Amino acid sequence: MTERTSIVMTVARKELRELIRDGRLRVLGALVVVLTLAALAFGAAQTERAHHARAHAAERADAQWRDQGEKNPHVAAHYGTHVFAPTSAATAIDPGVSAHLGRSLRIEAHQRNLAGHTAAADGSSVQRMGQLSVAAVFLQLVPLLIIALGYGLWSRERERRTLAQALSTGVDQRALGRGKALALAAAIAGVLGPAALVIVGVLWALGGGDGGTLIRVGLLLAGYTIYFAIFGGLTLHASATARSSRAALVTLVGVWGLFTLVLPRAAGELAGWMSPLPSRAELARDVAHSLERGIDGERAREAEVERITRELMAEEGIADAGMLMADEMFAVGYELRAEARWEDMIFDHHIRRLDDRIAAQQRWIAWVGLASPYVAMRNLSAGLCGTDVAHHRHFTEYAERWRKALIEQLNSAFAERAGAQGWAYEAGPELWDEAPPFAYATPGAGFALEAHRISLLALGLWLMAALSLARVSARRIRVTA
Amino acid sequence: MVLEARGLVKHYGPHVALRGLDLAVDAGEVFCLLGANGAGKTTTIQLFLGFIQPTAGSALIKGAEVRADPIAARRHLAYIPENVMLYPTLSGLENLEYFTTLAGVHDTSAERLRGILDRAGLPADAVERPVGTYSKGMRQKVGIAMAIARRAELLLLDEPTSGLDPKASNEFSQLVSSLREDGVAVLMATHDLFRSREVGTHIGIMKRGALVARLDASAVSHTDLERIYLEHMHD
Repeated sequence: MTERTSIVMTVARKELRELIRDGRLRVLGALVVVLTLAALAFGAAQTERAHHARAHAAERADAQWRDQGEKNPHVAAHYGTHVFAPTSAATAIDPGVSAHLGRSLRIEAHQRNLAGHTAAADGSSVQRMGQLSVAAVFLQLVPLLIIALGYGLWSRERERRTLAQALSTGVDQRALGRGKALALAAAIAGVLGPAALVIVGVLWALGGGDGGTLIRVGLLLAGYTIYFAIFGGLTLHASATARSSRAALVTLVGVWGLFTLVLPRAAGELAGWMSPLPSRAELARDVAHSLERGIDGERAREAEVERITRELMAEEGIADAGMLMADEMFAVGYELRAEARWEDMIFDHHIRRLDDRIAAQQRWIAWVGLASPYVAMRNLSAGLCGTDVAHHRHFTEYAERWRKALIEQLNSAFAERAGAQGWAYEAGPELWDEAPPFAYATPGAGFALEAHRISLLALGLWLMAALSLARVSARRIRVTA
Repeated sequence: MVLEARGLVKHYGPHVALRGLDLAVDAGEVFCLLGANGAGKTTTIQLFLGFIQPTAGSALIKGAEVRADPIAARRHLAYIPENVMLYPTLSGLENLEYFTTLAGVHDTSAERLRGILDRAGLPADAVERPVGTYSKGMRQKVGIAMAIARRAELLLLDEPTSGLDPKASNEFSQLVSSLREDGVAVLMATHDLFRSREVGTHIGIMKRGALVARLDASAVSHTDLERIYLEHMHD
């Protein structure tokens, strides 16, 4: 061990001794651990309940679909079914916006679920704390713990003049700074390390032992480590530069409030102002108008359905309309398919526009992460837990593709098999079993990282800034004997 | 010379704290700086610690400018202020181990440090006790122990016996004399005329940032020292 390393370790050991002996670490650490484990217990119980409820509901929906008896395929398309997003074990850590957006979708002909396309990622920090999740504890309370443990690391030494005594030994103040940073990191690791092991164990028990979840949890731990390091760096900087310990504490608590209370709220307001969303009533009215008059408001539904019918026939090599006259239901089948295409085009347009606005809101909120590491980490945390808006959109887009395939299949079956029975034709379980499998899989961790690259950038910049500030202020700290 | 001031000047804005101070302290010498509050004694100590920078002139330790490399300069010295500041939740032994490690001392075994604390006169039953329970005299002894443990070549003392009872003050003086005999150079700022003559080899009287008198401690009686001091103070 080099002399400098030995000094850094000695300083860290001394700081830890002081933190332990003055009781702060024990009391505050125990409080954070208890809250973390309580939040984990609530989250795990909720996730387990949601998992069972989802499995039960999915099983029931599947059984209802298969056991719906004999009916016309288009009637079956109206009868519809439900699909469910998989419940990730990581939801126990960060429920994100999943509670606002739901995890199931109603699937039926002519209808689209508009309620699921709602921005909720700008929920305030107070709302988040009301949820008491592990993420809320990590995002809001652990920074307060870091502040409480670290605000006096430099300032108290200066106040009681032990800093002058220490510097008179000829020690390099950068080594002192590194020792203090190491002590703060060790104290936080000592508090949260065992809690992190319990979290990983609980996730494993909840079925999160697969490679994808483990990668996400690993990235989540790395993200929170960076987040805590940012607060550690800022705390050391404030402690080194403030006039007194009290001033350092007041400044840091003020910064914490700005990061976790003011800026998240401002981010939501900014996003809503820059990219406003229509109300549900406005959206429903616009969709209804477009369904009758087209997206540009200058078309007639009947004429458009006829046009699409002709296109469908052309696509499938039916050049002579007379061929359809021989089989009326064949024509009805084409009309139903054309009608579905028309409706899909309208719904796709409005929902894509809405989703794009929501995505724009998310980007505005993500940019606020450059001013608040809390906002950046909150976004990344929900992303890595698969409970953010991007994952919800990923799920709804898959569900919509599946809906289209199912409706197309049912309408085609009606067109091809009804024959002379017309609307009296009824299909049976053999057709219901032909429904395409709903095999949605949560995307990999790369998807989450890609969706939150602005937040990653913000965290990286914050980390560099916080560590640089801590290093520079340690080098520049001045004392008088 | 272990310590040397060459034309040291220090201004705090319009206030002149030091006006061209010249002095030198060699190994085995104790130079006592006497003077009223504000005479510039503590400023002189701070300049040699490198905590403040001179406006003009040079503070040299072992021939090297303190300003050029304060960390290297501090490696040669030990500093004992009016109140040796220690970490209250740590024991005397832990404080000593901490500060000597910071100073780059390799042998910080508990056995060696206990022996040094014993030489400094700290009672054995206090060694493991938190420093928060120590008297001022006991803390000063830990300060002396730091100097011994570091084998410092230069001791900077800033009013080290201020507020100590006569017995503790006497013990402290004996420790300083013992270090002087070991060849340590000492610069001591003090108000205590009696103590300066007792432990000092040289005495300087400071007034308004200037050294107005230099005396050989062995050549001046207590009475003469008091008279000379008061004459300068009343000028």
